[in-house]
Amino acid sequence: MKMKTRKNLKVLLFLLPILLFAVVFVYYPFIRNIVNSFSLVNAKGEIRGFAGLENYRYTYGRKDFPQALKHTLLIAAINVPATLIITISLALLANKRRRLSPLYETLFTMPMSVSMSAACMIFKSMFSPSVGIINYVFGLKIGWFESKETALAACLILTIWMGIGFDFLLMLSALRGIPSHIIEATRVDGISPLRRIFRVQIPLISPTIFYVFCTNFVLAMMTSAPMIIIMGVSAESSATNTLMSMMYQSGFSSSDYGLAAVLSITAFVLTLGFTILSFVFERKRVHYQ
Amino acid sequence: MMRLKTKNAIKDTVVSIIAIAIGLIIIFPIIYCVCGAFKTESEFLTPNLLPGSFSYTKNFSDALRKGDLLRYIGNSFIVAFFGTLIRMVLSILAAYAFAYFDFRFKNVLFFLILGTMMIPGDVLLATNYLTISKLHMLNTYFACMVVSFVSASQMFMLRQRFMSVPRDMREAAQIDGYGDLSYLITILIPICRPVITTLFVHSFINLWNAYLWPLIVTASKPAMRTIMVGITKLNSWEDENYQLVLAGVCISLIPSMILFIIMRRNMRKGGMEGSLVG
Amino acid sequence: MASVVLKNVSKIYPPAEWAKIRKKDQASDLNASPQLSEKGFAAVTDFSLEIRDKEFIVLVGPSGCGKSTTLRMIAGLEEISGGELYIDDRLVNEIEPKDRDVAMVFQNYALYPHMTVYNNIAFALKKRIRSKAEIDRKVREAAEILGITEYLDRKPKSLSGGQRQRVAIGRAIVRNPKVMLMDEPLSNLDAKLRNQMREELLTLRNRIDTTFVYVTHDQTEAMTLGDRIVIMKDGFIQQVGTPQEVFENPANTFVAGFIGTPQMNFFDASLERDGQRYTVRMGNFHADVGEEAARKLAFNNVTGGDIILGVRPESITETEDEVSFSARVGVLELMGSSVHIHLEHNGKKAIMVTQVLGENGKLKMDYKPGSIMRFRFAREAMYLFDRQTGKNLEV
Repeated sequence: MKMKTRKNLKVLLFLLPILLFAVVFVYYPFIRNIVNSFSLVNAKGEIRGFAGLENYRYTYGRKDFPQALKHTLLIAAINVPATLIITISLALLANKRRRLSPLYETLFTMPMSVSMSAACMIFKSMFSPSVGIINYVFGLKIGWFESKETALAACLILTIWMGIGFDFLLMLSALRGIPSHIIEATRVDGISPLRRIFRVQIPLISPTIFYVFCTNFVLAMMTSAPMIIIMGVSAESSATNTLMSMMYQSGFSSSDYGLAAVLSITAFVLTLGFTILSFVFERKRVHYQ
Repeated sequence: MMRLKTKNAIKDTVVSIIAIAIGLIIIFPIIYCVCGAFKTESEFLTPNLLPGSFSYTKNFSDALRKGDLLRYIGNSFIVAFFGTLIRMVLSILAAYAFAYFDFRFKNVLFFLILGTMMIPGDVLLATNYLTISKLHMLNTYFACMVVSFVSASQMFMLRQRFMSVPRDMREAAQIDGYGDLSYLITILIPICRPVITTLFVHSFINLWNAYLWPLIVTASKPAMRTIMVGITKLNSWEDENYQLVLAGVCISLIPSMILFIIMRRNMRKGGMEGSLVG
Repeated sequence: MASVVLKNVSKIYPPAEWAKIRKKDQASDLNASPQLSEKGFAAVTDFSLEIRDKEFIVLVGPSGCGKSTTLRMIAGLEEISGGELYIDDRLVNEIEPKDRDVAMVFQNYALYPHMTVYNNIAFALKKRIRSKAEIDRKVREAAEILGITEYLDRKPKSLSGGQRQRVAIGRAIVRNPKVMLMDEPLSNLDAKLRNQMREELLTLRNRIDTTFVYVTHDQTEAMTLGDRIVIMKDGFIQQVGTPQEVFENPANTFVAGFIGTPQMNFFDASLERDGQRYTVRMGNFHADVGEEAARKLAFNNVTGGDIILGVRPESITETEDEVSFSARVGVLELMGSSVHIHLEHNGKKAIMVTQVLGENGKLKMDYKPGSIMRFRFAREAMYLFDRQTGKNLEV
């Protein structure tokens, strides 16, 4: 069985590298997170004993936790439908291939190439109360980042903008993937464009819509960078915290790893729970061909 | 017949104009950024969108000098390039094993790797930070890229592509005297080059654009910052110095913009717009 | 230039593996196959054959008979589940394909799409020969033989099917392998090209001195190319022999039906023994089997009873005689100089081939569809098979 042994060795060699990193940098930290959340963890990240639910009680009892939770859910609740509506509309607009298609398709997808931190800096500048162009154009005098509500609104616009490019691309290729004879059939049958969109095209791209829904939802639940970059890390800025930016603050600025673990797990469980729920829903509403 | 054609042409033109107008609104932040980067300090205080002249480059030189951006660009390049390279190697090897070998626990291992997609990286930040610090690897390039080495979606796409290559290709190479590794390098990778290039570019942009993780692992040594971390620190010296920040942002956008345009063209040519899912 | 010896070679796909293969091939009709047991799917069972040096062996059989699996075991692409395989007296069961010194031509050619024809052919040599000049010489020589010199700089994509086929063959012969394996190399070509390539293979075969193992489902290819033919079914060898042997003395009804087109007709008949004499009886028709056949039958201790009577379509003749059987004439298929006449006798279908080209160059056809006519067979043209086992009673 020399050949077999050699083959098994080869399999090991091909798979070991990726497995090693998957275990050390995904599964181990994931499990460690769970363990940490039930432990007394010191500022060096070492476990100093069993804490039971103490970390959870402490985290959930903090004044800023309900706020962070509320912001996270709010961002997800607005970001996801907004992105879907915007990208589906753009894709419907761009669906037909025209002479200028490459131009406006590129324009629509361009936000995709802008990184989160670059976008944050641009938006921070645009929304600046003194020199920012937003206040000027709309004739406003808002100190966007001074009040919680306007700061969150600005962050929301930013995160929606970030998602447009890639999701538009997915929607567009899904729309163009609909067999042309189906669209031709609706034209022969004299179905109005509006009916065609809502009764034919959107149902047919529902798998992609569902995919975009899920990935966007996860991304939105993990929102933290705008809060960290734009608002900075300070006591006042915690007013706009999301779960993940709160974790960043607690984990790295105050080295409270028990708190960080609880927040991570909370965000993860919420995300997973909603995703599973949407999969249940998916079975009923998403059409696969 | 003619009337219908003219009507359609008019409709297309109108839609195109509307689409371009919307497109310009969408990329307005980018336009704003580029214009702002060329403004003088006093121009920035006026509400004009366009700068007085696009030849005013003091912001760029200031950003590069004061912000140490050149160094950060170098850091980012190293992290993005080698991180992507290692990621590609790992995914290609794993994809090959899953596409061509039969072995015990194949399904278990496959789902173990795909399972990493279920866990958002942000959730792992704190514990991964502790691992890196225990390994005494904070403030290293390796630390900046290590969490990106595993890409299940990339592995999955490569496996799909590999499986679409006829099996007798590998058998022909075997009979021609080539083992798995030399088949992979001399035949399979060249055959799959379009997909591999696209994945490489995509991954490079992702690593180039990464923010939170590099921020955390390079917190104590500014010289190791990546460009994306660097630009967020630009306006902490002179407050509100936005033209400097925007110049830095512009610089940081150049590589990803170029790659983005290349990738768009590639995808249009290859008709594989949907293949980037994940 | 080597002998290949297979000793009781078998291939069993374990159930799990088989389930995967079946899913891929969608061959659901194999579900009820007798080859399937709790041990898995027996693709090849007890295959024993000695292939002599420089012999041209053709493995032939319907799809799923195990012929390709056998070939792939010889190549080393498929693990051998049981038995022994020797190439040039060396046991190669555990030897990787690259170390067996075999070359193979694949059904879909398996040309490397990103390489030029030249590099496709040179690819295998690069692993074995250092000298660039030597490689170049060999590649050009092979290209010369196959007439593809002018395409050397092209990529496979820009070649026609026949040209690709030549490149695939070139890639194999350039190495001068011990054994040349060919897996249905002509099945992707259209009929005209296939005939032409078959002829070229015959010429090629005379130019390169090596052992050939050739797999096909096409009995014409098998008959024209092979020194010996191995006919397989359900993973078992049915018969091994020269084309003439298997045609004249098929071992069973399967071989008899498989070799020859249109295929042999089978009728239910009975055999009567009277001392040293045997008589075949079918309705009104009866015939003595003849002395030689009778001797063989007696030697095999055949007692008589229900048999299957096999007659090739060319051996049925029209008759006015009383000692004959009547059949209804069905569809006529004019093939050119001959006509295929579909007959129906006692609800059983048969086919008869007869020459209709007259000496004056005109076709002479006076068969009327729907009419009832009488037919008989020559006694030498009768094949007698056991009704239960299908075995040829004279072998």
